Formats: sequence, structure tokens, C-alpha cells
Amino acid sequence: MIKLKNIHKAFGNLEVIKGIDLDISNGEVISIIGPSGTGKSTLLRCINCLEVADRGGIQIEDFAVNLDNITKHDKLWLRRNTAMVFQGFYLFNNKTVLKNITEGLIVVKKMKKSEAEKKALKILKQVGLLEKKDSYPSSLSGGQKQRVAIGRALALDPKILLFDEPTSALDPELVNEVLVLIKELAKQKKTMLIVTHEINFARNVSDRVCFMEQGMILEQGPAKEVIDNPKNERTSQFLNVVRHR
Amino acid sequence: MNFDFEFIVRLIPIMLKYSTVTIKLSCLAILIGFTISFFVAIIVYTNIPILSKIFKIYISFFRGTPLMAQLFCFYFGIIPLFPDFVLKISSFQAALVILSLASSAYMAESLRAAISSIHRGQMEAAQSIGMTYMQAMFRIILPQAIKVAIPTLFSSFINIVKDTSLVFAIGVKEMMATAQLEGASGYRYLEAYICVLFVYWAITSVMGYAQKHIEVKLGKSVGEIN
Ligand SMILES: Nc1ncnc2c1ncn2[C@@H]1O[C@H](COP(=O)(O)OP(=O)(O)O)[C@@H](O)[C@H]1O
Ligand SMILES: [Mg+2]
Repeated sequence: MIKLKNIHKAFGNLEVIKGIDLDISNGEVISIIGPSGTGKSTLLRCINCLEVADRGGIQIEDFAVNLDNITKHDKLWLRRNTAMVFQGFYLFNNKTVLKNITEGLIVVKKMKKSEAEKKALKILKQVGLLEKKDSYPSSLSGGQKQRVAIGRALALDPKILLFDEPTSALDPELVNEVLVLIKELAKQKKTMLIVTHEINFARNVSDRVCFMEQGMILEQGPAKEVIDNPKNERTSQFLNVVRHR
Repeated sequence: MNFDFEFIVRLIPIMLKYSTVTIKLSCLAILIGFTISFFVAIIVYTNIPILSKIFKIYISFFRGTPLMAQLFCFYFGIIPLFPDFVLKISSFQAALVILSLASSAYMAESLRAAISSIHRGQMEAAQSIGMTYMQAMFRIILPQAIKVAIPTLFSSFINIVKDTSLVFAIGVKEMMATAQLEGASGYRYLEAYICVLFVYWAITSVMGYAQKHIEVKLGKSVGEIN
């Protein structure tokens, strides 16, 4: 169970997140859609503590973090229990595919090397890249890079997986392999929060869809309901624009 | 004019003997300077308040003033201010201090630029899985940055070797001082200086060879960057 309570974030005078509340049950998949520049990435980054929110709270299971005066320990705890998949992949270029995945297990989870490798191989099998284990990221396609990045996030058994437009940087023919993998994770009941512009994907994979604009969630509900019959004027305008692109 | 090859041949063993001073001074200055530059680069890149300002001034000062003036100021100006130290600090040690500090400024600047050239995303990705800033820095960013910085770092190393030829001016007896002395004793300046130039060239050539070797090795272990 993950609860976001009244999260606020500003960059200087620019208010980017203006009071967001969201409860996410275990195993739930939520997609966030909305125009660019409305704070979707910032919201994910606040949950992962890459940005520190100004106000509000985050609760994961029994651990509650008060963002008004967050400690170093809280920050590390949040980062270790949430994992982010970035639009730009950001694999560790100095490490092989296998080591990209064992790195967090060994350094963060203090796992033994042999144990970490066993787990990493299992994960690589899951993301379908076992044969690439000794390759460096530079030799992978974009889709393969993103699948490794998803593996790296998965390996740490996070309480929630955060995806920030995971397919936006990919060539069109590579989008599908990543979406198929995310769908597979949804079937395995991973808790996920996905920012995406792939409306059909959001409709198919998510339990719930949130429409976000100007730092607020303007509408949310069951995926098919929100996307097929949006109640909010702004949601339907946005969906029309996206569909006709 | 007659060029005296025999004189050069006789000079070679003497030069090689004093080249150990040059090599020792260079190696120590490279080691100490590189270690300092590591911390300076990280502090400046991380923008640690106050400290990063101080080290920016440090870099600017040592890169922006002549080494000879720094040596003189330190050895003839600053050390005599502390009478207790005058007898304890040899000219070799004074030269080592200044060479280390000055070279660390150049190396810090190349390391800082190399760190900036590694995409921020990798730092964020490392932090997003729970690594601390320093873990990410030392395990992910620096190995890649060093690879990028190798060519400029090696030109700093080579500059250190060449700059040791200035320290005879504060009385360190190394190759350059020997060349001058021997050249003067037989009025064989050309032979003496040609001899010393070739020994410097030999040392820096070995370093150039080492650089190639390290680049190939890092290329394998670090993988392609970007
Ligand atoms: N580090 C930052 N500093 C200043 N402004 C930022 C920063 N990150 C994002 N912003 C601004 O915050 C707003 C929301 O950005 P973002 O969360 O990336 O939106 P989205 O992901 O919905 O496109 C944008 O106007 C953006 O320019
Ligand atoms: Mg974004």
C-alpha cells in the first residue's frame, strides 16, 4: 500500500506539483497521462526522491515519510524501496549487462556476489536478454537497453516501479518489446506507476488512469472508463489531441 | 666547431644517475597531485558550498601563475617566514610541494570536465536504486570520467616531468642542473644540453607508451562510453 498525501513541489517560483493525493494498492497498475510540462516526471522523481518535495507525505507499507522535514535516512529508504525506469535508460556504461543488474544487489542490498549473479541471471531470463549478459550497453538496441533498465529496477524488489515515459525515446519498431514486458509485469501483479503517452497501452494494461494537468490530478478512474468516456472537459480535449496525432 | 660524441657518451651515466632525482620527483608529484586533484574535482563538481569556491580560486591561481614564480615565492619567500622550518625543508621537498599543488590544479580541471561529460542520468539512475552519491561517483561516474580524461591527464603527467627541469633554480640537483654544470666545466654546452634533452625525451616516450597501453586496457574493461 502506497499513499501520496498532498504533495507540493516548486522550482523557484514555478509551482509544478500542487497538492497531489494518490493511494496505490499492492499489485495495482496506474497510468498517468497528460500534456508535457505538467509535472508528471517531477511527481515520479519526488516519489523516488531524486527531487525533494516541498510539502506532503509518502507512506509505503508502515513507513511514513514526512516531506516537510525529510531526513537523509528517509531519502535513502525511499530510494531503496522504489525504483525508476527512465525515458533515457541511463544504463551504467562502464558495466556489462549482468553487472548493471548485480551492482545494486551487491552495493545496496549487500548481497554476496555469487548470490547476486544468480538473481541477475534469473532477471535477465525474465526480460529475455540472457544471451546479452556479457555485452556492454553500447552494443544494445534502445529496446534492449530499456529492458535491461527494467531488469535493474526489478532486481531490487521495489515496493513500486516508476516508469517515466519508458518508450518515448525508442524507435517505433522497438516500442512493442518494452510494452510487452511491462504488460508481463502487470500480470505478475507488480505495483507500478507509469507515465506514458501510449494511450492504448495505458487503457489495456492499467487498472486505473489519472489525467494530470498543471500539477494536479484532474480526473481518475478505471482505465477504460477514463479513456473511453472522460468526464472532465480537459481530459477529453487531451485525448482528442493525442488520438489525432 | 667540433662536436664531441665522446663527451656525450661520458655524460650519459652521470645523466642517468641524476635522472633518478627527476624520476623520483616526477613520480611523487604525479601521485600526490593526482590524489589531490581527485578530491578537488569532486568538490568543485558537486558544488559543495564554500569549499567549491575556495578550490575554484585554488585552480585559477595555480593555473594562472608561472611555476617558476610559485617556486621562488614558496622557497625564498614563504619558508623563511617560519625559521623553525628553514633547515628542515629541503629544496627537493619544496619543489615537490609546489609541483604537486600546481599539477593538481590542471588535473582537477581535466577531471572535473570529464565528470561533467558523463550524462547526469547515470548518477540519477544509480541514486534511484539506492546508491549514495559517493558510491555512484566512485563506482559509476569516475571510472568513465577517468577514461575520458586519460589523454589530458597524461599530458599533465608529461608536463610535470618537463617542469622538474625548472627546480634546479631553487637548488635541487637534478638532470638539468647537472647538464649545466658539466657543460660549463668543459665548455661543451651543446653536447650537454642535447644529452639532457634526449634523456627527457626517453622518459616522456615511455610515458606515451604507457598511455597507449592504459587506453587499450581501459577500453576493454570500461566498455564504450556514450
Ligand atoms: N530541475 C528543474 N528545475 C527547474 N524547473 C524544472 C526542473 N524540472 C522540471 N522543471 C519544470 O517543471 C515543469 C514540469 O516538468 P516535468 O515534471 O518534467 O513535466 P512532464 O513530465 O509532465 O512533462 C516544467 O515546466 C519544467 O520546465
Ligand atoms: Mg516528463
